Amino acid sequence: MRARIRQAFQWRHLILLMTLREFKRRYLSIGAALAFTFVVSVGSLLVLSAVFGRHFEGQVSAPYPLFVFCGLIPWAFLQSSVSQSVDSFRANANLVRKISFPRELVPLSVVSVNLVVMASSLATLLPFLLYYGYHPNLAWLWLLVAILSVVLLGTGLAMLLSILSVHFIEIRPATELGIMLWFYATPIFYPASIVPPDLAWIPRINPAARVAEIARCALLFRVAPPLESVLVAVGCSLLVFVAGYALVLRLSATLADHVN
Amino acid sequence: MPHIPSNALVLDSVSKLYSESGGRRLMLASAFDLLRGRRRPPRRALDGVSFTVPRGATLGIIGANGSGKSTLLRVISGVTVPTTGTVLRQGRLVGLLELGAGFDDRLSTRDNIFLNGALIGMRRDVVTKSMDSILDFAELRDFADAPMHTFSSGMVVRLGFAVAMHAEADVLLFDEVLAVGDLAFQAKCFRAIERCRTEGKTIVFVSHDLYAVRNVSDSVLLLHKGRVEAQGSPPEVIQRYWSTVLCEDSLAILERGPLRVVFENGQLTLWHGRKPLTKGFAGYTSVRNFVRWHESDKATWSISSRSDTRIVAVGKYLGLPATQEWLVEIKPDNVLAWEVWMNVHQEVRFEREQASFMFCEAYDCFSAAGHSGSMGQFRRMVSDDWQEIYSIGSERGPVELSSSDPELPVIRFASAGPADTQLLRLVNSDDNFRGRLVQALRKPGSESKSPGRYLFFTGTLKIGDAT
Repeated sequence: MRARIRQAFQWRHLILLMTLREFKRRYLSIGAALAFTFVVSVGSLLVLSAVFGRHFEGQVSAPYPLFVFCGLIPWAFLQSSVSQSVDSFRANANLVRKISFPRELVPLSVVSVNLVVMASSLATLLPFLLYYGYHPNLAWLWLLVAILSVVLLGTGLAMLLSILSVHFIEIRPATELGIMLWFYATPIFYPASIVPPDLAWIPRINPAARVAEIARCALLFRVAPPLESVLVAVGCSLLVFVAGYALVLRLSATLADHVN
Repeated sequence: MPHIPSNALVLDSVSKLYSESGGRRLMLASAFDLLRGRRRPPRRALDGVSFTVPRGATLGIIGANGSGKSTLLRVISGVTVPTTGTVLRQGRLVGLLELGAGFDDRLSTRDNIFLNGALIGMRRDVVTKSMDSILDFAELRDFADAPMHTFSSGMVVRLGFAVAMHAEADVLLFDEVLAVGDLAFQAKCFRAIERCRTEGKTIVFVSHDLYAVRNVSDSVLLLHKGRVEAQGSPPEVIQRYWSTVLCEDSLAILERGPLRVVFENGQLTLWHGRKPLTKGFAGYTSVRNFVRWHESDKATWSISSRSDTRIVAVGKYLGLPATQEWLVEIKPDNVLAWEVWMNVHQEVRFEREQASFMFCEAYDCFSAAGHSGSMGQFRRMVSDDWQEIYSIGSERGPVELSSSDPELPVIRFASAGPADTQLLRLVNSDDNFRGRLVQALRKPGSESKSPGRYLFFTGTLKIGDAT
């Protein structure tokens, strides 16, 4: 696997080109993609604030829009990486069936597109943070841990689901349903404190919830996140990443026979 | 001195199985099958294929549809892996399984060249360096920044070939890609392939174009039902292809003594030893309905029974409510018996009905009913009527064709029915075909055919001079 990751790295030029292609497929140009992302993220922030803002305002220890934004950015990355890559092998069947290249590049390029989108969303968040007086300090570096975990998690799930989707029909609808459930099971627009005690284990084992927690600690509370959060987030993500990558490697040799 | 492997490709007992349940399934259904222990038997696309391709050699792969050619190329190119067996590759391999695979409609030509180049493993600086040359080869310099969705399919194909030709590959694989594009581009492809050969590159290609296979390859591999049926020099293997693989539905070869008759979809070709006797249309029937001629070779034939010396075949006409049935048999003493029945399904008019053989132009003498003469020269004609040289009532036959070439045996054509309604004719084709024809044609009258079965022609062709 290490050799294979090194090989994928050698093909980074191709990942770049495929990412570019994904961008053009989806948004025509990168500029349009970034503008689009800005509008969508600010839009969904406004919607969530308008709907839940008044209700949760007093229960979170930060301005509600910022609270939502910190959780929403990694979540949006996770959600779109997974939902867009589920069908990626099938969408690229003509490549996979005719050309020999490292197969993992197909879901990886979808994830890369979303990585760029996440970066631009974070850039959008920055002026809001400064406006509300959240100036940067060293704790912001913890954001990198959150990003690392969510990238590992998103990549792993993207690989896992895209390769399974080649073989099984249920994967796509199950993914859509799963993402919806996961969204409500993750404290993004509500604080973790309102979760009833008998359900409190859910956000504890949920890596997405842990990522949101780390991001909020870093940007809003400006303190180091609890060690447990870091361990769960990074541990789960790493596990999913290794499982996804291993499955793709195992099945990529005969992928061309199955994809259609 | 470093050891340089002399083989570019080594395949050792490569087999490929495709499970019938491949593709996407319901997970639930798969689990159910697993629980009940039900497994569909896999289909064997390749079965113990072993061969080597020396460095710098060109190998052509031929075989009928479904014989495993494309699977073999996929396995060699690494798009998929063999189920068992091994494939060893030496040097950089570039496979063109489909020209234009890996292009994206929404990208510009330039971006697509970068993407496609990267997909087949070209380094970025190599692509940058060869960009102009690729655009020139594909004749797309003026369209470098146009998006691909504005391209014709020919332009896409040209671009695919152009990129692959600049990939600095040691081994090139082509799957039936030489058949696409217009004639000018095909010629360009062949020149490029020729250049690759002189540069010492190894080439493996699949083609249905036997002419190309014969002239481009150093050796040819014949696949049949996933196995290597033959491998060797192009003429040998192509001969084998004709005699074994195509012998399936609409092709049969009858042999007895020196006489060989090939039935191919409504056409009978005759050979005496190694010498072809017929040319052009060879043995065929034709009927005219209103203004249109329907030749037997335009119908779709299938052979319903066959042995070494006898076949029964049925041909379905396109656009005529009729089928024709042929009984073809080589009898002892080099006699070919040919019986043709017509099955009419709906009332139809046949203005003309004839059964003919076109022989090679060296048959320039005829004799019939005590009369003999020369077939003469071919007329250069403005009209498309062929020139009748001689004709008699069929009961006064046979008619005979002979040649001054001692290797061409005398041919006697006789009709045995339907009695009293036929003429035997000797005809020169036009100057394009340059063939000598013997024909049995129905005399005018009884054009209207009601549904049912009737004898169209029965007769014999005797090859060689028996007294």
